[in-house]
Amino acid sequence: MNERQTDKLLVKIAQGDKYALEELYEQTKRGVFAFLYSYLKNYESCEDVMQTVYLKIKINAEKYVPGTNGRAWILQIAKNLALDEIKKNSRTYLPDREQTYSLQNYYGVSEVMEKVLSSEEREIVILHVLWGYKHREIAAMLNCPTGTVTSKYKRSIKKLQTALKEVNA
Amino acid sequence: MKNWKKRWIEELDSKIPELSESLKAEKPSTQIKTSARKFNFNKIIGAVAGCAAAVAVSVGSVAIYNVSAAPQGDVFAVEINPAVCVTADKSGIVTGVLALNTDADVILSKDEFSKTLVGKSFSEAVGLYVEKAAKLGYLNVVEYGDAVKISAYDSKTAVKTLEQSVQAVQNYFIDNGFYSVVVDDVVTKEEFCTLTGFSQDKSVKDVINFICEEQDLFGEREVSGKTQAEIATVYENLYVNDRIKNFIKEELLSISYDLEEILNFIANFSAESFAEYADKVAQALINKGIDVNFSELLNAPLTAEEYNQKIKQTYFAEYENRIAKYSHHFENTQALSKESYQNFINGITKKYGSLENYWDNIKK
Repeated sequence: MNERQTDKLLVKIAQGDKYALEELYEQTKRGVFAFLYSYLKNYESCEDVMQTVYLKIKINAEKYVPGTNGRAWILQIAKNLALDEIKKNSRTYLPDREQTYSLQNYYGVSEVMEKVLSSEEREIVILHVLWGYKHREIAAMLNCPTGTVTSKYKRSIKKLQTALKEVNA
Repeated sequence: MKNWKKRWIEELDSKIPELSESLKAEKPSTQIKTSARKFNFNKIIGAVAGCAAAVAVSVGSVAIYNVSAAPQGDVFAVEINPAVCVTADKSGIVTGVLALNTDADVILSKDEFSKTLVGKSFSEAVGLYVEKAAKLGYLNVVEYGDAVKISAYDSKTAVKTLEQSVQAVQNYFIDNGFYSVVVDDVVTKEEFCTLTGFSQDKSVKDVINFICEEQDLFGEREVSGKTQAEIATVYENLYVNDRIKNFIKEELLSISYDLEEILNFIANFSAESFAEYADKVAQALINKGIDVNFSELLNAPLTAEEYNQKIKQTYFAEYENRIAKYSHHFENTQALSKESYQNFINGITKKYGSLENYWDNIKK
């Protein structure tokens, strides 16, 4: 989903169009869920927070200014709620698997990403693959050169593919 | 190993919950509305008559069938440039959709779009098809005067359904602010055969069965019964040196501002240079950190299954490219007044004599 499409849907949501919220959910749910998982590290918490993210979007859509990067606005809502969730649980989070486990015990791509990629690498992969941001757009968001994003992305993919091969072996 | 992105998406889809009921919209009324509105698929567009109409679609190399009088079902053709043949039962419900050229394949193959049309009323199906074609840039809605032609094999029920579908598409254009034309035509048996290439010795029932039972995509039918070597040749001619080449050219143009060497390549972009330099271009893009996913498409398929997979990958890539290029035209549209739209139609009719003449003028 591109920026204009996101803007259009947010404007419609602000106008009370419930179908627009459903469509926005369908278009952005993967990106939001993966983004939440990178913070919360367990699926159960992500499922709970997901609904709150879209409730917040619905309530605050009228505050969104069209043309000011709707996708980033959504991600900021998700990030804030994820951090709230982490604070709410006095322990940091309960990951789906203990981090001391070897890679052999990680099965899902999300779980392997948690294991082998840094937080910045995960963020770059999620923004590029699930949110459709181009490398130069990600570079602007992260305030770093485009080449840095590109090389980190390529390195991340290689690490991920190697790790997934090990998991599948 | 399954592509990691695909695997990741499947994993996410298995974990992501449905949107909660409290956030979902209320279910819409199923009352049929008599005036067609935007193609919101929760509402019925126009009144759907319980008619089946046979419409022949003129398209390239379709198997030839004969059309006899008094067809049991109905067949429609919807032409823009991509052209499809649509069959409907006597209730006017779509039973089959067939692409008649590879441009139609691009529309129908993504998300199995052709299958989503089956079971819908003809008016709704043609509306969905026209909307999809417009969003992919096959129907030029930015400038004045592009056209859609809906043809029907002559029968009483066909004429009635044709009128309703034309009205539905016109209302779609009005609601979305598009100065586009709908041309309708009722064809005789001879005209039907001329348009479609069907032979004179098959019945309409055979035609309908063919449309319902054969593979939806023109590209898939092109290699039916062919040897492996022939399949590779078809793939090279129709896809590598035509569709994939043009798709890659579009991709390169969109990023050409970053890469001077690609500008030079585009300037000399012929089939010969593409065949020679495609791999080098792909590597150059990768070296610049630009994702490319067309390298494997350049290799000829080894089996019929691989051929089908690769042509769909090509269609999907074109689909995404077109969506990125054209879909923004649909933002911030404003509905036309009926008077304004009618004046536009009157102007065309006055200048060309008829909408049929206009179609012939702009499309042929």
